[in-house]
Amino acid sequence: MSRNIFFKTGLLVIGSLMILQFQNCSQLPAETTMSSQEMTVDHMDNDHGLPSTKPAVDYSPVLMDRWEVYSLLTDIFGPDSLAVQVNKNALEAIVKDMSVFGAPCSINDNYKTKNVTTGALANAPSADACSNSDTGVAMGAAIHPGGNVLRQGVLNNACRVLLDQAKTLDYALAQLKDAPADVLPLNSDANVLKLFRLFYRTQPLPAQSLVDSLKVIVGSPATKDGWKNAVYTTCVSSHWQVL
Amino acid sequence: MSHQENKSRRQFLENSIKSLSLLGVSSVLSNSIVQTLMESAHAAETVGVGSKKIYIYFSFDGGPPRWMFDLPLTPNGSSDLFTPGGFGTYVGTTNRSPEALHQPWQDPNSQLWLPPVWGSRPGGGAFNIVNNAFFIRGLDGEINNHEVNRMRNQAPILGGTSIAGSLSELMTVPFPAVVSNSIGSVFKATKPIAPVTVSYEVNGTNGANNPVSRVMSYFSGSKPIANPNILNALYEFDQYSKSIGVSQHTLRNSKDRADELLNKGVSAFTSQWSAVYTKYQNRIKEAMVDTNTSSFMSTQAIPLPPLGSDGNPDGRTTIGTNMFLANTMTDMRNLVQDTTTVNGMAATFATMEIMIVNGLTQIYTCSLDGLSNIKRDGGTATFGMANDQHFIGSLVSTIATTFYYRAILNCVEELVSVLKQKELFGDTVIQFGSEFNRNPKTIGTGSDHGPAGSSALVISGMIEKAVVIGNIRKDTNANSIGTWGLSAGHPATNNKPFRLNDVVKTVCALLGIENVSNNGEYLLANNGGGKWGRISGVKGEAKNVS
Repeated sequence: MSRNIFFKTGLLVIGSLMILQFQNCSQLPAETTMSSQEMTVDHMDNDHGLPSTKPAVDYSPVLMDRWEVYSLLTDIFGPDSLAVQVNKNALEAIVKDMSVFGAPCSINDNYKTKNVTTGALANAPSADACSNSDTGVAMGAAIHPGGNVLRQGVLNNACRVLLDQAKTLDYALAQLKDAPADVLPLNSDANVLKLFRLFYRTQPLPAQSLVDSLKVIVGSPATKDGWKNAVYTTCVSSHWQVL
Repeated sequence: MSHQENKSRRQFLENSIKSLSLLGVSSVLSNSIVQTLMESAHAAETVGVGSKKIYIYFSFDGGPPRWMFDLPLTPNGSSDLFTPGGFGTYVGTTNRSPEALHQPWQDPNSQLWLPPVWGSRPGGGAFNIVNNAFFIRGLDGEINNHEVNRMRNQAPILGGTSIAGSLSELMTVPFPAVVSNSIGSVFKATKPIAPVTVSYEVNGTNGANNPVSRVMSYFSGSKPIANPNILNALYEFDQYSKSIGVSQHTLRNSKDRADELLNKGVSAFTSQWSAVYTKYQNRIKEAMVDTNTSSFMSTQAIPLPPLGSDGNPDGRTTIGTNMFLANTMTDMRNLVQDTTTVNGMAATFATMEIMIVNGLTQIYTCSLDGLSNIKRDGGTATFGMANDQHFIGSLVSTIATTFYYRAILNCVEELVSVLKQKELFGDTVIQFGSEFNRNPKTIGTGSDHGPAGSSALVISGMIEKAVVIGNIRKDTNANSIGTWGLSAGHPATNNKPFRLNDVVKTVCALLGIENVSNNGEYLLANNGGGKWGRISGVKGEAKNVS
């Protein structure tokens, strides 16, 4: 019996070691031993340490640009998303920040302002301008950048502001109701999936675990705050930005 | 990691679970073991490798003279290849006539002869950071173009990956990189990483309109998510995105980083601004004051040169095209005063310090502007001096630019002392570059672009003793003969002059990233233990060659 246990323990240890061996997925930064004394004709830049296993193609999904994000949110939250100043500011932050959300910037961004008193023309502020930007950063903005912290910050803020306004919240919730006369959408799989579809327009439907997690937030019975939090969660989940 | 590898790994792990079950280990336990290992492996994949390196790049847009780096750097102290008089960095009087003399300063620690600005620390003595300085002279910039060569200091392959971009791919901090001014446009990574852009208009010392507050304003008003149900649902969304194969790991990282910032509290960063900004304003101010300047400027009054026989001002008082100091200035030591400053420099350093020491970023590239508020006459008239100087060699340029570099060194010294306190300097690389240096005219009235005689500077905690490398040869051009010299061939680069590729390759090695130039040679030796130093033998030489 003890021999059996010893044998099984040994196999367990060997098995665990094999698993650990297979976990080496992350690449270390190119470790280099630098000395020009070592230079030979055959010396290559990356001939140091363990061989690199970079894939030939590194696939990175493309994200919506600033206009796509802006359009989607105004569609979800309705006309008051632009009619109310605080909402408008939050949404315009998405459009203005080219380096955060990506360009391309448009020649229409190179506008001029006119002083109403003197009539003098001035270039658009460099923060807004495209090719007229003083720093060239707007021109250098990636067409489709990846996620970044500032993008998430702007998105978090836009979601929060839009949901703090009654009209924009109600507009979004109205799209989830079973019937227009309902005060609130019922907490059901179908309505939660409608919420999902508000943001994730073309992606496959999610697993039940995601639906259940949103239903927990909505509450039973459903409350307005519950729905507000569910919409907020979906809004800041951010993966809907992937094209 | 590719999808194929992921699938193979999942299959392997599923098989492992079965194997563990066969060993008599309960399925719950075996699942737990394997999932724990999976999660940690996935965390390593998604969060990034997490480099500790800190990289700061200062670009001198416009190409100021290279005194900070090597002029008239003759490591053995001799100046036999240079025409005496007119091109030194010490300004004094000879027979009551002002002139710039060749008078280098010897670092007592390394025994190297260095530009005298290094021995002019406002508090007395030499700047401590000289012990961590790596002077690269004899650099052939190859291309005579402001914008192109400015960018090539970061990305030698035009349009290719930059040093900052490459390093940013290893970052796990909230902001992968921070950039400002024109050098920011050269940032490029192989992944779609966007740096944070800052600008430096500051509304007063306590103004809310400072770069840190503006960056943090993206998060003000938001609160960290504490509701566990919401956190669970967000986790489900992350799993969903992975399950449909459209997971964008930078999106997941950004969410985590944004949450981390909110948890730390925005005010924790913005509240530091006032004290740090004031500190750097004071560092600049004390550098502009006439104390411990004897290494580069006479302690006696320096009168203006007399007017020429044609009644025109002496060319050595040039401050711009057909512009001169007024002859009411009686002492050229008064050119720079405590109100002389560098536009945006205090804000640059303050932003840099706050963002780095608070772990907001580890990469910061910026451009430094020129001097402003330099006295022009015996009254109150002042002028500004851009880096794009075509009057190098004039006494005005010699004095004012030395104070400019003094202010920069004083601020860098302060930043380094903070980094040392936080035990960050050992992983820090601070690089200085410009599009080219200048070849002053023999008559001392001006200069032009001089890419063939360029230089660069690196300050790093990985370097423990001042190092100079690079050869200089005599400039035989009729206009600039015997002045600052040009790059010469060097044994480390197969008897060719150094190029930007060599500088970039060396910096990449210090940072532990792949070389972003397509070739180049290493200009430092790896001494092990994270330390770098002079290459031994002829490959580490720094000579003046005929």
